[in-house]
Amino acid sequence: MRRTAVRCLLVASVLAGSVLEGGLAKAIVSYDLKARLRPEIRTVEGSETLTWLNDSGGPVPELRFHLYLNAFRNNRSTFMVERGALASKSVRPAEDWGSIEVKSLRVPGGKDLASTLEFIHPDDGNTDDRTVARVLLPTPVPPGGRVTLEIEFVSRLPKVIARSGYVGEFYLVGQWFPKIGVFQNGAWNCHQYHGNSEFYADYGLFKAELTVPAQYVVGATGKRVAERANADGTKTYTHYQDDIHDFAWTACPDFREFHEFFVLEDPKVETEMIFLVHRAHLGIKDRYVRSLRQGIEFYSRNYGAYPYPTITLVDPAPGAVSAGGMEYPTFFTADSTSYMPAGVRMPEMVTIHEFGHNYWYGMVGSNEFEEAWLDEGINTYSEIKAMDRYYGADRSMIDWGGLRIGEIAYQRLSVIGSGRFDPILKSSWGFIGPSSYSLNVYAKAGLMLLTLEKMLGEPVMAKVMRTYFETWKFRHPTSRDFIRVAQDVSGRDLGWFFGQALESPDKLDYGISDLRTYEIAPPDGLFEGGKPLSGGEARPGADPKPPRAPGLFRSEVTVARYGEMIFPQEILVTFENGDKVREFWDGRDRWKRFVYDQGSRVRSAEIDPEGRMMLDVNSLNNSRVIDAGGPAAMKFGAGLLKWFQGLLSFIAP
Amino acid sequence: MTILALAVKGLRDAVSRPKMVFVLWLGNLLAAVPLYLLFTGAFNASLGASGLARGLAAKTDMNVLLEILTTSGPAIRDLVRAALGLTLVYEFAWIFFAGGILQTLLGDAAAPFASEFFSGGGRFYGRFFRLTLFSFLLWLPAGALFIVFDGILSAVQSDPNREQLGFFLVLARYAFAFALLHLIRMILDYARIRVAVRDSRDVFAELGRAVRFVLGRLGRTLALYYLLGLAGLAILVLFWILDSALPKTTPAAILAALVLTQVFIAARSGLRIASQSAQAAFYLQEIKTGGGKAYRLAAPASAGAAQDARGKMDQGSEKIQAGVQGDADQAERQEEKPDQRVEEKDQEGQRPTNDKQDQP
Repeated sequence: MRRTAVRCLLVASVLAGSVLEGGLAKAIVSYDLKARLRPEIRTVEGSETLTWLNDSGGPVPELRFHLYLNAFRNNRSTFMVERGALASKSVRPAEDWGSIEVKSLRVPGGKDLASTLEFIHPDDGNTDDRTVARVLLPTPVPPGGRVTLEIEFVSRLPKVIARSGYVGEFYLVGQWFPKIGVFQNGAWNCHQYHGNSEFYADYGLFKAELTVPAQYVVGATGKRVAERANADGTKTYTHYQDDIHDFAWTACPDFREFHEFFVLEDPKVETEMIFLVHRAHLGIKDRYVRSLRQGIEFYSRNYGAYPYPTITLVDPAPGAVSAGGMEYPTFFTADSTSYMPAGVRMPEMVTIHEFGHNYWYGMVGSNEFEEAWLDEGINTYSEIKAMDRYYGADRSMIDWGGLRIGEIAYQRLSVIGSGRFDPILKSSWGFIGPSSYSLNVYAKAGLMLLTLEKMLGEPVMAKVMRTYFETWKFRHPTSRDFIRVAQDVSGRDLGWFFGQALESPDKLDYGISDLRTYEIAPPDGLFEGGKPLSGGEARPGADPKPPRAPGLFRSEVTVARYGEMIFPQEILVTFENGDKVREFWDGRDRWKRFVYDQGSRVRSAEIDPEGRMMLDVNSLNNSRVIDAGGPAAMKFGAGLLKWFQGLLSFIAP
Repeated sequence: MTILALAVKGLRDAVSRPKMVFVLWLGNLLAAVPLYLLFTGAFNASLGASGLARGLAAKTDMNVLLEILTTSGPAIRDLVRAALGLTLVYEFAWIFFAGGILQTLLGDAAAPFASEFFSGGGRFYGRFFRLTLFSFLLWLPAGALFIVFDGILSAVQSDPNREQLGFFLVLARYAFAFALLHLIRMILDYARIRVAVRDSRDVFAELGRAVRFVLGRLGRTLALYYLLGLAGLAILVLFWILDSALPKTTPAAILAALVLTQVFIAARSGLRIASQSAQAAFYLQEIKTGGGKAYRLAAPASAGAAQDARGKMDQGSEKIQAGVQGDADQAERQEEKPDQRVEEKDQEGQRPTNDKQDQP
């Protein structure tokens, strides 16, 4: 009790004395949330006191809010339409839909403005969509001024979908309260909820009192500063965190709660790791613990110290797959099942990835609607680096039963097999489809950064990443900011690279198109000085026949650009006598031939011998050898024969 | 004979018929070789000159293989089509082999193998083909059984939080489907045996009787089937151990692995012969109750003789004079009239006294 009282005192002093004075970020918002979970009707009854700072240079007459849960209100919302609901014949039961309704909205002491709330559709004009609303204020907020709103709302939770909702008694309560948009460049940046999009919000302070039936185990963003039992059989948990831009929580009676501490000396990190593991998945707990430790260590050492006092990992209940793998500040959902083999590293990958979003999304608050690669792509790059560091590059995804697959190879597959429709840099709802969104924003962007790393060198790239984090943490950077940092740190003009890799759907594919070697034929025919055709008599005035060079071979290496993307290339040519020659090509033309007249035949040629071109969609044509063949075809043919013969012998009727 | 003795007899029969094993193995190999040629051709055309191919010969790198798979869509499509076509061809061929196996096992032991095997294949082809088609009907009750089983398991797993239980129940579903598949295969085996032994042309009726035969002796038929199945499993495990031990990085090692594969396929072919032999012996033992007897087929009957035989069957005038083994067996024996084309010879393999092989 004493401990709780001290915590309450601490929070009260923080909120009363230094509202909007967050430690690391400029606090634009302050939320004081109260929520009561009513499981019997799958509803959260809530209220919030929101204080918003007008950080712009002009007055702001209206406020805009995200009402994300209305994306699940019916099959006409923009989210549902983009997810193909119009073509779907399946009917969702009534209890599966979700919504959020603003009951009242007022400036303290003022009249209720809820009835003036107007749903707007800035992205697509879909009048059925109710995920963005605006309200005209009685008086504009002056520059540097603040406005406080008191809002009451009811959030009806959907059957778990896209990061929020319930399954059985498991609740993931995300995007559940009216959240104000970002006012920047003299306008509101407040997008509708799209099929692919994630989120964007301003930093500030969040305090939430969460009341649930007493048997529920609760986890939430931030640090728990108080808890109390209520007379009506409920418990109230109070959480607080500053320097964040969103707040989510979870409740489930089947959670088992574990606490561990993570301490790192350099850089200084001290944080409490909280694990809410569903009782069906207790066997996975140690893997969660280990991988979260790895995540905190890797990101802290490479980008900057993890600054928050807690990090909460939520293991969703069986059947709540759509709740898995989602990030919120200091709080994320993992993903696993009871019988995930130890060598299949999906839980590790998801844990490290979602934790990593505390950096790329959490602390570096890029706009996930408009430039999703800045969080997903950079985080995929970071996650690959972490997974390779802890599990080995050739087996970071799977190391099970002799099967070894690295994450780079895994990410490459989606890029290799992709179409050429969208660039990485695009509004999240502008992609031709969900797969184009995910392969560009996650895999291709991650591979683009790996290619950049190979170009700049690992130490320079590490400095780029650290500088970008340090420069832009608790702010809202854009792609241009990232490019600027990369150019400043490396001292190189990288516009040509990002212009192609980031802003164009072009593909990168270079290869050795031809490799040949032959002994140079002896001189034959007419030469200066009247030397005759071979074997004939000398003619007056003809030059003597030049002597044949003994054992001279011509070798030709032809390299080609099959894709549209232009990338300077290095070619390694190896001769039979062991000599190696490195050639450089600007890669601009469609092809280039290198010719050698030497005493030794060429043995092989390889383009991009250092494997820099992670974006190359066909690495199979990157090398060529003279004596083709070898036992590889026989080896795999024999393997195929074995399986096919076995299959035939088994299925004979 | 006991089930174990029947299984041993089946294995001995298989071992004593190397020519038949050879033919079955060859059939399997010939069906598979085109796929090998297609694959190696495509591999060499697209990757043969690549330096990656050399690396793959030395070490199987799944990361590279996945990339090959991803970039080789058309070639893979061709391979899959070829595999499906070859599988279909093999299925048709196996119907021929099944006739040959039964003719060789049940026919004249003194006759040359080739004439017995290939004449049996041709003789029974049409009937076994129809039988295979009719056997698809068995999937209807099997499907219904599976639906019932699935419903029961779903009721057991009403709590989605019991994920471990759910995992085991998924395995149980697979196991049940596997068991149904093998039950149908076993029924088809006995239906073929019945057709061959009785030289029956009414294959649909024989399939129905085979169902009754199997269900009437479910324990023993399954025991025999899975006893030999265990032998197959042992062969598979042995093969897997030996195959895994081969490095396959040099042409010689790859060749050794290829040879090992062929030995494995030959062993599986032998096991198939053993299975048919043991099941045929079990069937004949059951209908004749003459434990230890061996039987062989008569020559193809004339249309008149077949009609005559069918007429006798319809009359049901003849009774099997055999020991009583229970009501079910009795009913089966009532049904199994002493077909004139099923002839006995004594345990020492002497030729039957009323040999009708030469009948037209």
